[in-house]
Amino acid sequence: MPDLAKKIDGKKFMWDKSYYSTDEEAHEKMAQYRKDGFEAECLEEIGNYLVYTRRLVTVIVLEDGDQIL
Amino acid sequence: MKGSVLVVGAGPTGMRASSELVNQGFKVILVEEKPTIGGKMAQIDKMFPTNECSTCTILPKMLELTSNPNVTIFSFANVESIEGEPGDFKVKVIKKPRYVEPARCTACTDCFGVCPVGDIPMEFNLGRGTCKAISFYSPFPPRKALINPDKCTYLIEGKCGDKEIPPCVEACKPEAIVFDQKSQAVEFNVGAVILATGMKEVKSGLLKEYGYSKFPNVLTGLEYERLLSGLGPTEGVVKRDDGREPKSFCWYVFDNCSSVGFMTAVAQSLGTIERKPDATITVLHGNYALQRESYKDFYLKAKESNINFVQTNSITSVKETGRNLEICFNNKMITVEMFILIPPLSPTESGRRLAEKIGLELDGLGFIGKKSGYSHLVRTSRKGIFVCGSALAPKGIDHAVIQACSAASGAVSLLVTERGKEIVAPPQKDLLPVRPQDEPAILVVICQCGKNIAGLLDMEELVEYTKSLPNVKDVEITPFGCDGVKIRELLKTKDFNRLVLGACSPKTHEDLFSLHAEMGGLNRYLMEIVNLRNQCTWVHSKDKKKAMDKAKTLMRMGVKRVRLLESLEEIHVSVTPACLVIGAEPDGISCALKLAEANLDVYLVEKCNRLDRIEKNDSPFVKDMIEELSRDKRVKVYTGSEVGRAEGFVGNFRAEIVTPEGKENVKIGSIVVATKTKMSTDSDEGDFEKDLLLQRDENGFFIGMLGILNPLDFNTEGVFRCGSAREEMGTLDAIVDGEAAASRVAGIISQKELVKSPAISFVVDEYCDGCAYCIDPCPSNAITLIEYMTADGGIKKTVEVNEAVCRGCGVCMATCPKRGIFVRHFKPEYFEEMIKAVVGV
Repeated sequence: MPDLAKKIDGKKFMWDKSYYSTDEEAHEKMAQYRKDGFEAECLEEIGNYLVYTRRLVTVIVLEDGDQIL
Repeated sequence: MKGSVLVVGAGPTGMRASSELVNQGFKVILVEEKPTIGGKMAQIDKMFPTNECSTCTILPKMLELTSNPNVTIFSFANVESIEGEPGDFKVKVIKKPRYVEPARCTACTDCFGVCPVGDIPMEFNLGRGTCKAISFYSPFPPRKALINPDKCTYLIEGKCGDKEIPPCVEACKPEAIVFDQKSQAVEFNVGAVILATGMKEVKSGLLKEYGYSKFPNVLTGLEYERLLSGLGPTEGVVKRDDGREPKSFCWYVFDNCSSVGFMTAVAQSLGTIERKPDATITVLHGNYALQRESYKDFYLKAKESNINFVQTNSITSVKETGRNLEICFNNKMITVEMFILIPPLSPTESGRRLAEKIGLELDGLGFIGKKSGYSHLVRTSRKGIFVCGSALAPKGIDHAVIQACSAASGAVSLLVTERGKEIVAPPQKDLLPVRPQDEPAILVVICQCGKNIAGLLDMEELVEYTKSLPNVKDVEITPFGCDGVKIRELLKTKDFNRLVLGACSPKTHEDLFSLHAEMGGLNRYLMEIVNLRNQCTWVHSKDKKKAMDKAKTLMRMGVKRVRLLESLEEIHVSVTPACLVIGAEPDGISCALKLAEANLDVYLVEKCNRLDRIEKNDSPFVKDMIEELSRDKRVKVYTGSEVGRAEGFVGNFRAEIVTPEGKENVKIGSIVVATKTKMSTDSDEGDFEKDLLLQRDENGFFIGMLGILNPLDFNTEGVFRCGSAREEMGTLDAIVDGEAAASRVAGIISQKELVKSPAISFVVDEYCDGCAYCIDPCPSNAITLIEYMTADGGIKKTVEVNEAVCRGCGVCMATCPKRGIFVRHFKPEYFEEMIKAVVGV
């Protein structure tokens, strides 16, 4: 099982929990994620391509509805 | 040019100067005339105006220096001569004979028990309490025995006891006693010299008029401190010579004392009323102008504690009647059981002699003086020789520490080209690889701490009990764990992968013990300290059974926890070698110039265009500094500017400078606030004060970190305050303050990288669902919320910890409802195991 979180250039990225068999497939997925405003990175691990993403949340809403700026 | 500095005097001032220099890459030779370091601060109980415990504050600093390979300490030694020029002084030091070879003495104390000569008044306790002819000078480092040549039978008569070999020699297994030891001269060269030779109480005939040395319960202030001290002859219980605990006290502060004398009486009377709330206390004093707000507050606190302050010019008589003392003043008489005199202070004899020998001018009281006019406070008439602390004049410890930093800064400016050339790098760590799945093999070392622990706890019983605990492979006893000898020796066998130390407080000793563990080859995070001294033998000193029961429980908890601990690696953070100085008053200017002289870049921001004109009333010093600033290429000056947003962490800050021409972003490793003036913009430009969590008091001054040894530090690491940012002060003091802040900054940004503890927050992504409850409570603003995609198109959340900013306080761990975040080295399961150990599950 790959690491759920990876540090890439000092930033925390999270695995999308899918294995991609080719680099092209992974990059296609990354392009989709980037359209949604996520940063995306691809890593190769034991014959698989893994995609990691992240997006900083600037307005935080807690479960009870309170907002943190 | 030499890259080392001689520091004379190892009180708080000399120790601080040494520590500043070593942090900036310079070797230090520290010479102390007494057999142990710490100076007067080691003898006092609590310090004004913070009421902090003196021992708890200074002991970690002592251990930091004694374990630093770049500090050579010559204790029980005097500087005989200093010749030569700045950059290359030739120094001669005379080491006095101890009759014990320090390198071989293990501080086992076996010799004390067999020495037939006892009842010798202890010098460190100023004649109170007794010791043997061979003893420790004080409870402080370097903890090595020494022989009193005026009392030792063998040294006086050539024979001691029935046998040919004296009993102490027979008892000393490491063969450390050397009766033919002589004074030894040591010569070396240094680039600069810092004199921190301190002061002493004047015990002239004047005191006799008030019954001193005539009536046994008339003491000086320093003698009384030894009665208040938990490490003193009465273990902190104030007692008269007849053993009774007095209930009525009087202090008399001599009229020619400075405010230091008065504050000493305030601190001692407060310490007394804290112990005895029903005590009757009168403080007789002259007229003192308390200029510092903190002093005024401390005095008010004492007044509110029912301490009676009475102003008087003189005492007319002191008489002993029965058990009491009758004191007459202002046509009144009071009767007390103890009378404490706070005499004037003068420089130490050795300090005065040295100053005269090397040609420094002395003032009328014998302190190292200044010729006339405007002179820099810590420079002397000999270039390359600096003076600081009470060697200049009596002062509070915080003020002395600032001067120490300023003196260090002066020495660094002189020797900057030699930075790092004489220091040795810390030895490479050769640590035993320990995996979480490895079976724990625990070594337990129990420290006797002299009589502190062994005096109350039955060591054998505790050893047998601890041996019965799971995974404990060996249990050993050591006289003093802080010397590290036994710890290192046992760990080097590689038979153990965990260490439990039954010793003293981690607050004071954790760094030192960690160092010993690593020198023995064990990762420091595989060690657990059980505080047998403070938490068992001290707090239960009158109940042996309770102390032992608690010791067993704590040992059980320690062993349970250490079984789960994991090896951790330290975090290395790079450093930006530049500083932002906010405010260009004399303090800010002197800070900027000193940093530039240390080859570090500075951004100096001023709001009022003061630098464009030299004020008529500016001192020649300030005028010179402003001219120097205009020529200095390393200082970039922003006039008419403010500071906007600031963010980051020690070693790596970013700040926005708002100039009339626009905004400029700068990267810096440290920040100094050197003005009380509001320098941040109020509107959209941001507010560095808020960003850096800086706070002001009701008078608008910035509030610093708690602690008398850190007067320039903010709670936000890497950010400092000086001069008018912290209190009202004159120009010369402000200059010294600025230079001292420069030293604090250079200690950080002159390093290529900072080493940070890995005991910081760690996110368990499997459990964290991004509820964000941990974000707002984090006092370091170290946690941010991030989203991520899953392949099925879902968006999930988790948190991210900025490792450089996180301090591992654990607030996030306490807030998290899902066990999604914990502090490394403090996992919840460790606590669970410890609790199980207490309740016996």
